[in-house]
Amino acid sequence: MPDIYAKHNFPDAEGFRQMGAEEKILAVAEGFVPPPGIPENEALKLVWDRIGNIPAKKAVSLSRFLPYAAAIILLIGAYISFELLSSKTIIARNAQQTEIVFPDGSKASLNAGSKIKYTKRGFKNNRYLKLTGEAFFDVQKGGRFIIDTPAGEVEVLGTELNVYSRGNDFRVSCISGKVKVSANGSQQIILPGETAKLGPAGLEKYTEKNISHTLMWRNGEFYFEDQPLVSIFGEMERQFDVAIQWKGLENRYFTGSFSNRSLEEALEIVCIPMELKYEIQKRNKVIIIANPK
Amino acid sequence: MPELGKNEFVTVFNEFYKPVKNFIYYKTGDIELADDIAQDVFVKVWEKRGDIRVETIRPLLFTIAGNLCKNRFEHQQVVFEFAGRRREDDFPDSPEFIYELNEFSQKLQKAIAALNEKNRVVFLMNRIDGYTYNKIAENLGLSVKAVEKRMKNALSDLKQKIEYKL
Repeated sequence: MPDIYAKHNFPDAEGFRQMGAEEKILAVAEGFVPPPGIPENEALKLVWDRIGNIPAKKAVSLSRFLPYAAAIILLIGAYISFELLSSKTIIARNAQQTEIVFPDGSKASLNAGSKIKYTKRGFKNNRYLKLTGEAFFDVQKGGRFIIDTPAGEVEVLGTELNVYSRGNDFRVSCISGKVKVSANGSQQIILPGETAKLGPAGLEKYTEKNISHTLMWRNGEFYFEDQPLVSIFGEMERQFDVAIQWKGLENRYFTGSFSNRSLEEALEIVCIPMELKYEIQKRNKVIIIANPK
Repeated sequence: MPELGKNEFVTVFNEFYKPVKNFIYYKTGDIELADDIAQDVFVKVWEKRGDIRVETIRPLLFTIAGNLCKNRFEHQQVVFEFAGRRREDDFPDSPEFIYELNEFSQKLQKAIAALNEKNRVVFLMNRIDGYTYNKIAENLGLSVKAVEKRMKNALSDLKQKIEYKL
């Protein structure tokens, strides 16, 4: 421990004892010095060393434009199909998110790698659609509104909700109103802040600590709490339209969030804390290496 | 739009390495980790220098540092080991006063460690790095109002803990 906590204008004993608690706190804290750690010039040297070892720029930057091109082509496609067909399929390809307004005024945001199918004619009377992937719904008040997914069915009257259905992973979160979820013969009614999740024993209901995490994907942020690494890389594949290869990560879990702004940053956010290494290769291929030496 | 050349990089490093490192230390209480992450931050800035404008580098440095912290650091109990600055004074203090100050400083360090992380960072940036509220707001991408509020919260929290324990 240091002997004296003071700067040049620090009071003497008498002065100190006359100070109020707040003044004492401010004065003593001002004299605090963090432990020195590595001297600055050495740190700079270390930084230069590491900069010297950075491999040549990776070839991923070209793919930045692909999502935009895909989005434009898709928009044109969606428009044509909208005009021509009554049965409509809206797809959000990888690295893309789409907004939909249904004939009854209900809205949906479709996350990357997701699909919605519905019939335009008579939708107002028979509100039924099929979803694979993930979407957020803002349902107008009215009759039954049914969201059918491969894993289960969701029925609402008028509400906001998020539906996630990929493979065996089926989750429905209620933001406002009341939602009825059924899957595999089990049923749950969920209220705002609650999520129904399909588990081995059917649908289970739980209260989200922070329901806004569920909706972060709409702002391009992806939050995971104790989720299998594999499903996080799955989300990255959809968000960045890349193929990610991994081995031996099946039983590892991750808590954190990444943004869809930069693939490298997203990979770093996951790989650094999990002690993995990644390599970005040509043709949007990413290889994850466990136990890097 | 001025690009970040080698000279500018060194200037930025000299100005900000220490405050960025301190910022990480305030969050984690681990000086080795702070050195590590602070270096990561600057390596990253160099890698991204093509996309970076010199004017916006200040908030960027702290954002990157904050993000890297989030992923490298598990929120355990934070412990600080601040040293005190030597008094530049001709009159030596009495052993009793030195003891009293030590006592107070120990309590304060513990109270600081127990602060909410956001309030703690603002408080220490102001006290130790000598940043004004304006600069802290700029560093952390906050409004000056928010910085004031965090500072106020930190102070009242510290005061409560210290008075209670005294």
